[in-house]
Amino acid sequence: MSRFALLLRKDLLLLARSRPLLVVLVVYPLVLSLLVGGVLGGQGARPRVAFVNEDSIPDIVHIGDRSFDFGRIVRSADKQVELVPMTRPRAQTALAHGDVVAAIIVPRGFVSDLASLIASPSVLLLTNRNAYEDRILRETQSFVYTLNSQIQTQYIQSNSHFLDILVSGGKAQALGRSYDVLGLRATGARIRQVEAQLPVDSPARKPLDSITAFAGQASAALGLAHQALASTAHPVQLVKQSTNGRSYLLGSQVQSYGLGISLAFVTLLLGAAVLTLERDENVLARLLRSGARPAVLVGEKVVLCALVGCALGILLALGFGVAAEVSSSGAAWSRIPLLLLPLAAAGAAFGALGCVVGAAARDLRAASLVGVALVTPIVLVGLVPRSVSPLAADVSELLPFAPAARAFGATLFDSAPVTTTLAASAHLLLLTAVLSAATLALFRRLQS
Amino acid sequence: MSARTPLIACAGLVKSFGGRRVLGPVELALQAGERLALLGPNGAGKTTLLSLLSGSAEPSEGTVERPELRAIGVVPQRPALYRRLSARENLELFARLADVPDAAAEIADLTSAVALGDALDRPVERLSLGQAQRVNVAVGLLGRPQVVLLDEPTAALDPGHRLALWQLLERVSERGGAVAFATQNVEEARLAADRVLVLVEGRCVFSGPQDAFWREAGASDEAGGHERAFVAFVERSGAVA
Repeated sequence: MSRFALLLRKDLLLLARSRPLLVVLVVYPLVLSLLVGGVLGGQGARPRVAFVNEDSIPDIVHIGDRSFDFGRIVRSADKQVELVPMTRPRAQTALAHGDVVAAIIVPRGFVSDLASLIASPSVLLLTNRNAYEDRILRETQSFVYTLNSQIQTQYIQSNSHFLDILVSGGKAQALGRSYDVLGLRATGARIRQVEAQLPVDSPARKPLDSITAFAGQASAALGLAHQALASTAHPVQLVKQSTNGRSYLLGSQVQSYGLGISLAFVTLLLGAAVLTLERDENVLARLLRSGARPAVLVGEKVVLCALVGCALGILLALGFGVAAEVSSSGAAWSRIPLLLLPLAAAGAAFGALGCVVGAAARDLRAASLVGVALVTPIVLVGLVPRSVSPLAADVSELLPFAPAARAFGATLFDSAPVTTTLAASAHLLLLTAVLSAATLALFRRLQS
Repeated sequence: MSARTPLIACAGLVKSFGGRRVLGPVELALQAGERLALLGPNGAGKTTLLSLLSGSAEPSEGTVERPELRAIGVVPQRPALYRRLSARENLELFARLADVPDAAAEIADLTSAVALGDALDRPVERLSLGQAQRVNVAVGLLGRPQVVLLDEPTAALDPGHRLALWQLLERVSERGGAVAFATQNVEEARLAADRVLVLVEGRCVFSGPQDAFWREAGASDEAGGHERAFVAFVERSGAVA
């Protein structure tokens, strides 16, 4: 067995015999999985949205001789979000206090604007910056679309009814008055009746024939227009089906950040602890004398962290998967084996950073404190979007968290993850090499 | 190496921390079969000298000539062992790391010599200080090193185990090895060493055969005579400094 393997076996044995550490390694992912499950479950809950009906629109709205079911549209939106009826001032206060995540306001004069066919009425959406912002916007757009679609259908049915009356005759209403319309078919029949009473050689027959022909042509053409109007109203129909697919946006971020933060804490502290332990146990000089070169020693610690990172990460991913299944947002089971590469790379990079801490710190307690103190800013700087602070984003690329979260997110959720995963993993391995070299430099300084 | 070539030697050896000299200059040459006692009060520089000789620390000035690191057995004052591993696991780990040939036989021989008995398979953290120190000595002697450097090796041992340790070190010198040990116990130095190096506040105030040292110190054979002579010698050396 090589010295590397002997040292790795020894550290795994020590890890297995350190019960408090093992408990942390097992309990930590379980607790984090429960937390992630809570977030994913909360994602499935309906956010509260204030609904301000300033025009006092009833369930059934009548426009001209047509009517549509406004109440049904509202009830349809209510399945996605919890619509809470409120006045506008109360809605604004609730939004300011965070009691609701948005307010949909149907302003006064909405129905009369709709009936006038001159002005397009507006629906107002008030929202603040929150995790549901995009989702509420989509729901409101869907609400307005459904409203438009229903009104459009009613207008088309109304226009189609007018065409029927033009062809077949009947009663029509316009501008509040009722009219009797003869209809093209009846017009043709009446002309033929008049024509039958005329002498055979009457000069009036020819123009009457042309009017009869026109009535027939117009009747046939309007019949076709009726069908065309109905089909152009719905050129493409969207059929909405609800499935239990993954809730992409929040779920993927929560899971990739959950993996990143867990690995940051566990493997960075482990790297710092296992290297400092050699000094605390007073065995470092004895190890080096036995032929274990510093590079072998540091490399073995980094590999140990990579192994622990893989085990912890897979455990976490399985836990997240179960949590996602329970919350009906769906798990990326088939992607979990693909996580091994980025998990190993991230564990190695965080472990190498821990080794730097371990080589610089005087004892285990100092190394642990510095490790914990380091993890928080590393994670925070990795969470700052480039659009908010390009400098923070650049700095985060020099640390393992940002590339690790990117690799986990791509591996679990991108439709084509290979390029991003490989690039981020290579990035992490490069960081591992640089940090390992820094550890060795500190090692040499300690020996001098 | 020939019989006249020292197994380990240093010349003009100095160690400074932050510009403050803590040791030296020290001249030393240890021949095969020799046993050297490093004597001196607390903080005199005995541990620093052993670290420089063993290669665990780099000198600020001067040179050390020594065999390859694996040919030097080191027994630090505080046991250098993994507390969660058993005594046997520690011995096996360091034997394998150092590529000790026929490790099993050597481990059996050493554990018998330091009388570990049933403590061999207990985790080091459950051993008494004396038992742990015996494991520490056994690990330091793995691979039959040419030079053995020990830092106050008997501090936690009872008289019986102290005697066993000196017998073990006698075996090292009998097979042509060299032994240097730091101690605060004058009687131990008299019993186990043939040469003495005395350090006071980092300075080497005596280096030579044991008999010559006691003559210079003016020791008498009455009870506690050597200890009193040593204390007086150290006080004189300190006053001179």
